Amino acid sequence: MTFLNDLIEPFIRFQFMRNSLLAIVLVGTLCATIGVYVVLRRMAFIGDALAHTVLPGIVFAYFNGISLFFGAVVAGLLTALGIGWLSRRETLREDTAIGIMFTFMFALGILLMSTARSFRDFTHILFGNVLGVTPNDLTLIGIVAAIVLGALILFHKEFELTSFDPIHAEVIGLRADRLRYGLLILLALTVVTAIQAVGVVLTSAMLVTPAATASLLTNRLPRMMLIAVSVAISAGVIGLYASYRYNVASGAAIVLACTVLFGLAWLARTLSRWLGNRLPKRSAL
Amino acid sequence: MALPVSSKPRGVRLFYSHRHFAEPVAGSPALEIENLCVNRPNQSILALENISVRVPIGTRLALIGPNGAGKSTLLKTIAGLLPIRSGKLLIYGLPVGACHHRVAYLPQRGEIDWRFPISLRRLVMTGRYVHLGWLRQPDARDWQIVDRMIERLGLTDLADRQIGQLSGGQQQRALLARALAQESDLILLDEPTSAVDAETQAIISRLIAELSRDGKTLVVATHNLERLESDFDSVLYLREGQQVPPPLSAPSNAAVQPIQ
Repeated sequence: MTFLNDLIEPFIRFQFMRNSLLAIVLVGTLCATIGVYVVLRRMAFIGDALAHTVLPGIVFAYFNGISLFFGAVVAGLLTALGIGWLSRRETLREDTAIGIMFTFMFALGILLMSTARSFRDFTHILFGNVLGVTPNDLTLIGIVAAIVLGALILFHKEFELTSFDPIHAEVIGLRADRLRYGLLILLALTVVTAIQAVGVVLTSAMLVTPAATASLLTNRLPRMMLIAVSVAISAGVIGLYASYRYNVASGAAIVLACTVLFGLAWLARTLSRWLGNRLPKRSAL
Repeated sequence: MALPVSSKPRGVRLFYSHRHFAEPVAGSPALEIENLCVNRPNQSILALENISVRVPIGTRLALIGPNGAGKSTLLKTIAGLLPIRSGKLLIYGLPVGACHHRVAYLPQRGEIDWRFPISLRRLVMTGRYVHLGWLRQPDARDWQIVDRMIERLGLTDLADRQIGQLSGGQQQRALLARALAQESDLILLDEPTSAVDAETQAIISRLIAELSRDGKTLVVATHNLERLESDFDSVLYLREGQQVPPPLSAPSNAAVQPIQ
């Protein structure tokens, strides 16, 4: 019992630990679920890219005295639409479109920043701190999580179909392009919200690593999402606890916990394949 | 012969396209094409030039020609995947896309991401989506239809398998089961028997005959010249996007009517 007490003690004692736990559970659930599509549709760099493209939005919002979050959301949505538009009808591959929009928006942000008389570095906004999450942040993450997860559940069969067979979707009158725009917009909302709470690296990791871990363990989409969410939340709890106990950076600890879980899944899969090849087939018995 | 025409679905449904259901024009053939010209995707070069063909309800048309002759382009145009440049294309007397669930299309296998985490049974279920539309989940009847089609193609034991763990022939049959689950009247098959095992070839051949007996209309791109006389009512020969007369080596069975 002392072990369990040790484990929950920091969360009972400190409000900020409870807040960051709630934040990491919400962000983890959100990122891991939509991350399954990110991994399956081979757009692993979208998180990183979207995170950088919000810069001009933040700078613009700062100059004009509007909410920085609002600026970031608008820039994120514009990026999502830009990527969707550039890669429509396979004019360009999606990863190429992501590369173009990512560098363009980031450079635009730097340019805007350099016009300021007193140079202020906005890039620190990209590196959130999970231990500094406020109740307002939590409300915001909660609302975005409800919107994104709600949309993913309601349109599950359409997102699923357009991800593996867009041609059949077109034949039955379902516009695969529009679903792709929809997914990009949900991604933009997710990434913008997540980076302001937990930073770029943790957001990117939460989008890709739990989903990749789950993809090693199952070949069913809903199960993959559930496993990804479990991995994300476990890594969040382990990382937070480690950062408290050993006084290390929380974000980095969570990312490393995520990677360790991925490594374990990789090991389990390799072992089960190896055993599967070693054991006699049932028909041979 | 009674027309095997899809019935209008009941209940409130939000279809993917607002033109989801239209009554066929009485007396029109399953497919009527006149002087059809189609561009290559994203180019202004013609992929099909002045194609004219008429396919009566319940008959089977074979599309024959070398690779790049325009067989796939013609099927994709009928399926509504490619825009028409000029000419006429009517399906049961209606323009393309007027009634999405009347046309089923079997793509070539390479057009699908087979690594995607989905079971064979769920893949076949995507054939029912045209009847479901937004927000609606498959009901018991949809699953019943799906399981019946899976059985019809001899895939029952593999129903729960992830689609990437099927052989090429099994994948082809899964796609065919999906096309059938759609319960459409005009079925477009793009090389259903290319690079598949003998078992699959036999099943597909048998199925084409059964479907035609059920009053379905089939348009099939094929390389299999041996089965031309037994499996089809008419043949359209294509070369470099144009309709051509049958080659001398073509079977001269009376049942095969080359269309000029």
